Amino acid sequence: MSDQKQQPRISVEDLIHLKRSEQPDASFWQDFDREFQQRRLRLLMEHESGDSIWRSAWLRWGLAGGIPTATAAAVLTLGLVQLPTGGSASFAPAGTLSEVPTASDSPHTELSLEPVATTENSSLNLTFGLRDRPLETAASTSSSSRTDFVASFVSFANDALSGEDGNGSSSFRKVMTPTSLVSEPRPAHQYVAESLTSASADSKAHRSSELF
Amino acid sequence: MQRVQAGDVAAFDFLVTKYRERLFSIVYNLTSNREDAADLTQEAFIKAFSSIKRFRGKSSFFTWLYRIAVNTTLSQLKKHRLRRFFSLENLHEEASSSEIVETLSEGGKAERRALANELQEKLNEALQKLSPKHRTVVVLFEIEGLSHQEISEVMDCSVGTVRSRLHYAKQQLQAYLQDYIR
Repeated sequence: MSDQKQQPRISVEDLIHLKRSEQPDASFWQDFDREFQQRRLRLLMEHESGDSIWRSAWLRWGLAGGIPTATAAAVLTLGLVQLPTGGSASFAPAGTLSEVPTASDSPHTELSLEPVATTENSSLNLTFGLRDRPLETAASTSSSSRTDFVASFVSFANDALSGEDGNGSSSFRKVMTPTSLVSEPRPAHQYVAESLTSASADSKAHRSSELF
Repeated sequence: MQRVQAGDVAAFDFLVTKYRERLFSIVYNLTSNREDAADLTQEAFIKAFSSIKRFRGKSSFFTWLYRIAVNTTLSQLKKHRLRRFFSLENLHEEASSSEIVETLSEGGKAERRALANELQEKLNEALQKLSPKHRTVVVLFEIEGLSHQEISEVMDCSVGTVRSRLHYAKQQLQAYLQDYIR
């Protein structure tokens, strides 16, 4: 009994305080300092070169035809996404396939990145690219199917990406050249906004009246 | 601090040297792994160095630095990206000759040393059984000696929450370490 009184009481706090004696030795701090200096140097170098690297990479990408490539990919993606899977979908008021204008029908007015499609009897026709100046895909009204659209667009994209169309000039550039556009080009965000609102029935009718 | 915020690297080195032991100690006691602790402590200093211009002096620098270190560690613990085994620091000689170890062991120096190592392992096990937030409060209060107010600033919670977590955590530790409590 007297022994128990003499023994100091050990609390949980006393035990936790033992952890204060877990300390690394001097050599640990030498390694620590060296590694930290390396990490900070790497950070500083990345920070210093970060801006110029991005700027030059962007420039190189643009000059190497990255912008037309990305545009073609975006247009293709947009077309595939908005392409209806069944025959009942319609992007524009139904009309006869013969009403779809060809390249020689009307003057070129403005650029449209939105797909305009009509379906009739499960056949699909899709124009894509310059409004009032449908690409080859739209003109091939006789074989207006999804497969045809993809195949012809891939062909068009390949021409564009190869940079040559037989006449020594880029077919993509030829289509997109400002001389083929009468009206002022619009910023990209405007195209996106218009694409997003293409589901509206009113705008569909409006565009359809413009188109036909 | 003004020199550091102006981009003086040497001035930041001074701060690293001043706070590295304390910062490492916090992270080490939260992870029970010296390699992870070294890595996370460096990461905390790198983060502090990168965002030193955003330090507005509303709290003290060490509170700000502790907050970065604690948040970095808790984030990694949450993602389970840290090592799951212990990698403990050596106990100083003074630990085996402490009053607690001498009380628990009636043997010689070798036995006391063995008991100190055993106790170290049990303590780390017990701490790792706590949730990260409870563990943080215990480490900051009992090992680092921060006040409730300072802990509340570091952990961005109320003082009442700190007290509540501390009380609960000690109850848990008491249950885990009851063999050593007299």
